[in-house]
Amino acid sequence: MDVDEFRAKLHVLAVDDDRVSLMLIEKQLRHCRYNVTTVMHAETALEMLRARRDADQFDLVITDVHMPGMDGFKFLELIGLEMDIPVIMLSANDTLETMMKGIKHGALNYLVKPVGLEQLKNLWIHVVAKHMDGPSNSINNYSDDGHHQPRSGDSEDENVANHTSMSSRKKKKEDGTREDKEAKRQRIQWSGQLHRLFVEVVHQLGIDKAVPKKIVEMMNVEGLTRDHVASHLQKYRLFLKKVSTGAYRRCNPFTDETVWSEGNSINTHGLGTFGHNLEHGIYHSSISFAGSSNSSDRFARMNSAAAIGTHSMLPTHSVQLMNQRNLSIPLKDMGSVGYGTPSNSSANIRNGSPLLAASMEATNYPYRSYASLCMSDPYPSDGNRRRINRLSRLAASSGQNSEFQNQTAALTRTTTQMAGITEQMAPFNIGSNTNSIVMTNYNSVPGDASSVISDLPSIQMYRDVMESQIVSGGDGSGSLLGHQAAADQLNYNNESLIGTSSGQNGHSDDLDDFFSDCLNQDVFKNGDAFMDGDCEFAPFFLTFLFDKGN
Amino acid sequence: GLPSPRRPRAGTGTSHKLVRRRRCSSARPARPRRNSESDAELLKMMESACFLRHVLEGYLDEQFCQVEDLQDEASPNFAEEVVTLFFKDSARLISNIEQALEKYPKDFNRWDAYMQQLKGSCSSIGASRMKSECMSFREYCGQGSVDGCMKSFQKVKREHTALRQKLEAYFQLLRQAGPAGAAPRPAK
Repeated sequence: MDVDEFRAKLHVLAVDDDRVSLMLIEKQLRHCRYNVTTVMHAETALEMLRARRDADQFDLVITDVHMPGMDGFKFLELIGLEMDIPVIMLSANDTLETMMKGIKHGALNYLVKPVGLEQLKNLWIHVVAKHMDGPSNSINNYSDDGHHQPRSGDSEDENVANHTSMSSRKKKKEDGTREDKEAKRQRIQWSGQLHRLFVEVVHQLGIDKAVPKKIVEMMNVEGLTRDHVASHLQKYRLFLKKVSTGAYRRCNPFTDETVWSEGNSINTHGLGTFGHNLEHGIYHSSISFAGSSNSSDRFARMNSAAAIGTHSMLPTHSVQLMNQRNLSIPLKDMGSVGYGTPSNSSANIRNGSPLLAASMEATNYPYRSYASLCMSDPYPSDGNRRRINRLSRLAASSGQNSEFQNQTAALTRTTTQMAGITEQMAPFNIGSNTNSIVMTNYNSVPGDASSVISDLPSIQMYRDVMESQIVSGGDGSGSLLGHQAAADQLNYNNESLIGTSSGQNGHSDDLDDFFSDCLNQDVFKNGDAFMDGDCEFAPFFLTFLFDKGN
Repeated sequence: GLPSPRRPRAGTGTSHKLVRRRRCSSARPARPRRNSESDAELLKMMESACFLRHVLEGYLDEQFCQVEDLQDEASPNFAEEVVTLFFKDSARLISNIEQALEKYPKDFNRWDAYMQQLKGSCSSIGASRMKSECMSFREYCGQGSVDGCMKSFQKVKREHTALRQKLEAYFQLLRQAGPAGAAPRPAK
């Protein structure tokens, strides 16, 4: 089969409110042998696309940008949301902004009118490329080998074309529904890195102003659609809400002596969590990570030693983002907290003495250890008991001292940051890629603790700061929680304490399960704030702390 | 420019184009018929058409050639159909702009939006002179110059009228020469 014949199998939907333009593009497409349907309104086009979802779906959409009613961008978004069809934009508008906007909204290409036949002739490539996203062997075979055509002859080409047309037109039952659904839906894995970028962007925009469209634009991740972001954002918001309402729960510190002194848990399994016992109860205690399998779980990856060991946490551009935004808590919010020379020095950490324990002692925290924490809750629920057991295991596991200490150092340093001393961020930057974001400093710790560790603020201050942020529900809330969660992560590995089914089954590759578990847990009713399912969410905040070391 | 050498496209049969050209700068008459009498007439017509095409060159760009190239057996009058549609729509757009200039004084955004549509249409058929007047108008909108806009708009209208006259004449010539002058597209 040659290219002409392949094109003859494709069905293109062209949308343009300008009759002249539409007439022209139709003729041109027909000249290229495509099958063409034309409509003048995006709404109509959408109806047609929806109607054909199960059969005879279009292979490609070409749409104008500026149209009355629904414009090209909105149309593009909706297509991305509802069906996975390649979209090409076509417009007389050749400004950079518009073109970039089109691509960022998900258009696979942007053609400037008047468009020539040559440009249209090769649009079929986008159709094939799109189908490559899914696990479709024949397409992959086709595309992997550049010499496919001469080598294998017509039969495989037929398969390719047939597959494409089948995939796009019929509902791909042959290939397995699940597979094809995934291909169509382009399921996205919210990796730690991705999530942290997401969180970063959300905070940059401001949690109230973060709309999926903007988030997608700013994240600028290939293959990430508004749909992905929208659902993720929803979950994120729910989590924040839950957390903020739980802000007044009493959280218990996880400051098991053994944990601290042995420097546990900062190993390849990642980070532990520890709780702050904040009287005002900043909720935190993220203990579990979705997914229990260490190697395959994304948190394992995130928390791998490699990740921890790297300096860079975020790509430079995100550094820019964050730098522009004052993540630190404004001093005024700290109220009368006296921040000065922290009471604990890095030496404490190095010696393995429980920094937090010391701090907490200073501030009269009733709980100093995990054990006492556990005991404080006389009736742990089953879930909590499981979690407690796991925590113990985690605590008992050995790890790399230095890393752990560094992490805790990072934590304290972070609390310093949280106090709003922006200036202090600078010294904490280590390595070329470090940034001055509070949370991110966690990652720059290992091996650099000396330069990193500075004064440690009193927990009291930290607590107040956290509280004020939570209460004000400002932009910092996320970061606070992140911080909190980051702290939490220090002592826990990424084993899922909550035992979400997906996690237990070895490989939670979908945030959905994770989140649904979070949301299913009734965190705040029974006072089990510490060990709650929602804790699982918190590590996600930490994800942006830990560079995957890519 | 057009691809060279040009393969006969599948489905293309005889073309009514009297003038075939690779670039709009040179005219190439179609092959004349045998009959000497009609030959003379045809020749005249073709000359006129060539002449007209030359004139049109100033008004039309390569895009117009592309449009003509799309003609085939299935739609032998495609170019004329597109052009007819263009003048219908552009007349409407011009009228909209005229109203807007009056009804929405200094509403540069609105004016610009209308003109953007018109400009898009122009570029579709290769109406280069009219298109550049449209662009001029939009620049004046950007500058917020009412005077500039008004003057520029008049130019747009003039170009529109002039183009219409010429293209009407051109297609008429083609139609007249059509049945008699139908000839296979000269090989390139």
